[in-house]
Amino acid sequence: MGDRLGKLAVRAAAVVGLAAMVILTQACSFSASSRGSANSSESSSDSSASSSRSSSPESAETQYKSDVREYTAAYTKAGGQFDAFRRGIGDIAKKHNITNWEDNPATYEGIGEGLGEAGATDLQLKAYMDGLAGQDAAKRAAMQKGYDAKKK
Amino acid sequence: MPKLRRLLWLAVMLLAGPGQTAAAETPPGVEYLYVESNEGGSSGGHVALRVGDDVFHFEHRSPGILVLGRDDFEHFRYRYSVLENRTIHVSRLAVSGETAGLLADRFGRRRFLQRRHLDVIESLRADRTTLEEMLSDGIVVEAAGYFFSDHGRVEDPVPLGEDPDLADLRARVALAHGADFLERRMTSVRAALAELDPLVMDLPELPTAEMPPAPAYSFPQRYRDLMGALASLQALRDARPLVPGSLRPGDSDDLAFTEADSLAVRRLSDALAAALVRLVASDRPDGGVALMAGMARLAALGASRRQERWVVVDFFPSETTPAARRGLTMRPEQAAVLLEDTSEELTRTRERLVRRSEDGSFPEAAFAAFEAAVNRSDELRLAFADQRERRVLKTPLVPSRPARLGVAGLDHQALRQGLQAVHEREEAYAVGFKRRWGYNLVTRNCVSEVFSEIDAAFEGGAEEAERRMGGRLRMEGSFNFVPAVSAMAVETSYPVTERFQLTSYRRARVEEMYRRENPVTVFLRESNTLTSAIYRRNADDSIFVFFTDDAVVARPLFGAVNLVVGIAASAVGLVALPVDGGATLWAGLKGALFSLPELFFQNIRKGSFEHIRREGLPEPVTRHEEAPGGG
Repeated sequence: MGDRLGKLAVRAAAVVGLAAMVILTQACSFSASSRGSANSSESSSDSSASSSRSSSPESAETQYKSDVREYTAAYTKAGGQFDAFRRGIGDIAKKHNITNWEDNPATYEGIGEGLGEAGATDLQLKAYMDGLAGQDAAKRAAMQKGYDAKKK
Repeated sequence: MPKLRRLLWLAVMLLAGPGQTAAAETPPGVEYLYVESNEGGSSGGHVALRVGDDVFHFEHRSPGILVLGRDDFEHFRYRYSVLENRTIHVSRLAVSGETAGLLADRFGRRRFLQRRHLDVIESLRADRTTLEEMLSDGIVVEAAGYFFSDHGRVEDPVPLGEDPDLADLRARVALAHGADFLERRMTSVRAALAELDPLVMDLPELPTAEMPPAPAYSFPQRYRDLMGALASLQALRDARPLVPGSLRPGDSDDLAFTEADSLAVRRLSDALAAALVRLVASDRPDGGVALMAGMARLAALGASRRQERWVVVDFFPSETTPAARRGLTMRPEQAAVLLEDTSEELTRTRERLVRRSEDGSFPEAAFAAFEAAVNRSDELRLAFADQRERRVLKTPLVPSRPARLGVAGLDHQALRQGLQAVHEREEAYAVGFKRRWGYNLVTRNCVSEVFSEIDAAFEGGAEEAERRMGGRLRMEGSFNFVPAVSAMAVETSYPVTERFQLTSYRRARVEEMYRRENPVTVFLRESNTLTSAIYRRNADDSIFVFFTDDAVVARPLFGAVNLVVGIAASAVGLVALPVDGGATLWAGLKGALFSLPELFFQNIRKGSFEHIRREGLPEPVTRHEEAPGGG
């Protein structure tokens, strides 16, 4: 009788231990938006479970500009082909629901900020202006504004 | 003695006992957040660092990687304490503004670095898919599904008639850039396609530890972009009408035009057409897809004008393509709330769009938000009417319905070589990423990475971190990697100025009820899932009867019932396996497993919510907790 009780206790302890192990191995949040994917761009958007950080339009624009700034600063340091850089801007814009990024002033301000943050020279800024804004005064001014704001 | 106090405090956290309540505050600064455990995705709990309004937290993602996310605090709280129904314990740390800034910079940089590498992995995956498609003589072109039928060719004959708005756009393009502009452009795109060499793949370089990858523009990407450009130019040259089913019809009376809407649509059409005239002449590499998305929108605006009601581009994939779906598991009153919320979103985004249309430029972000709201609202309405699952929109919210277009004359041998190279690079990249940022339960999890990043935030490393933060949490040789233990250790390792908890949604609602109603009635009704006025089983939840997070004394008894119910549900699930694909079996097994700790007075929270209205949420209930001995 005592043996049987002992065995039962051992089995119960084993079950609890196993359960604890299974439970512990799930520590930290497992992102639902990433199930089956390593990239957040696969996430779904729904009014009840939106994956977006914030819904205010001003905040969305700030986030877009910030992403462009980070990307530009990194590109300025790491280098690479210019058309690949522009392609990358298109990818960032798309994540922010923007297709026509060339018409969006936040793009140019973000690029200017990135150049300023990376310590680009005035000459480099001018080269980017020529390559991206052409002779469009408003776009060039937006780039200059961003550059001045972050210039070290 | 301190150990005993620690243990007592840990027990309090795990048992989540009651305390005083007060209104919530959202001051700036640095806070360590511990989110209580929940069944399924995070049964060991979760932690985060709040700096100002940003919350940084490491999430465990497939395939076994740890990714740093950033949310604004309100979004974080809504997700964890409302939808996931988990209490958040907050420890406010005494640090200077400068230190907080350095922490924000470090976490921001780490997040950017990871995202860039994840983008590269995603682009390599897309490249592999493109090459596989090319080997079967077809290529999926984004947004082409609005103008071309699947498995068609760019050169296919034009369907009968022209879209009047695209015909107008074509005329404006001819006026701005010359009558033969489109033909010249198409010739140059065809030449660029012919020049592409599949032996030159231009793949991204393998990752290095702390440097973001340099952008690369690979052969498959270039091919996709040029095919997009060709398709867009062809669609514009022919003023192709939209493929049937490309628009959300806008049957709802809510979408009928007001005077302001009529005016706004005319302004929007004009601004969009002007933007597209500029875009068609741009040399940006991915302009074709953007042009097709814009043309689909222009056609939708034209349809709106003619029908005198809002009509938008359908964001969902065509009927033949599967989409993520969400079941109709919510109770009718919850469904009504969701419908009402969607309707409010529609009104809000519509008003904003009308206002923004006055600027004279095309407000793309506001337009996309309105389109998404119409899509969601229409989908929800149809799903409830047809008693079917509703489809869920995928981000990004831009018109992107794809079509597979035929291609010919490709060098298959070179493509196969390219495919092999992409495959190898993709694997090597993923392995490198996992080596650097792979998840490990003990050595690299959401806790260890937060503290590792804190150390790395300062030039002087751990020593400076300790000086600036007033303390340091060590991982080595401790159980601090366990989220609940780490929260307790933070109390004793750092100067904590304040500690409180943001109660889970269900607990907050139940407490409200206790204040207003007979406590016995509330307890009997809300203690279980069968009669609860707050909770209705969510499809993601396990099967259980009793809530045990707020029933400390009765926990083992309730747990025993939950265990039996879980086992019984598993048995039923086994029988139902061929019918429901194992959903009941899995829910039953989960219910049984997560009931086991309840037999020993422990609780892993069960129950989550699919939709709770953000507006009108009760103020977060803040329980102040007494620090056990920390600063």
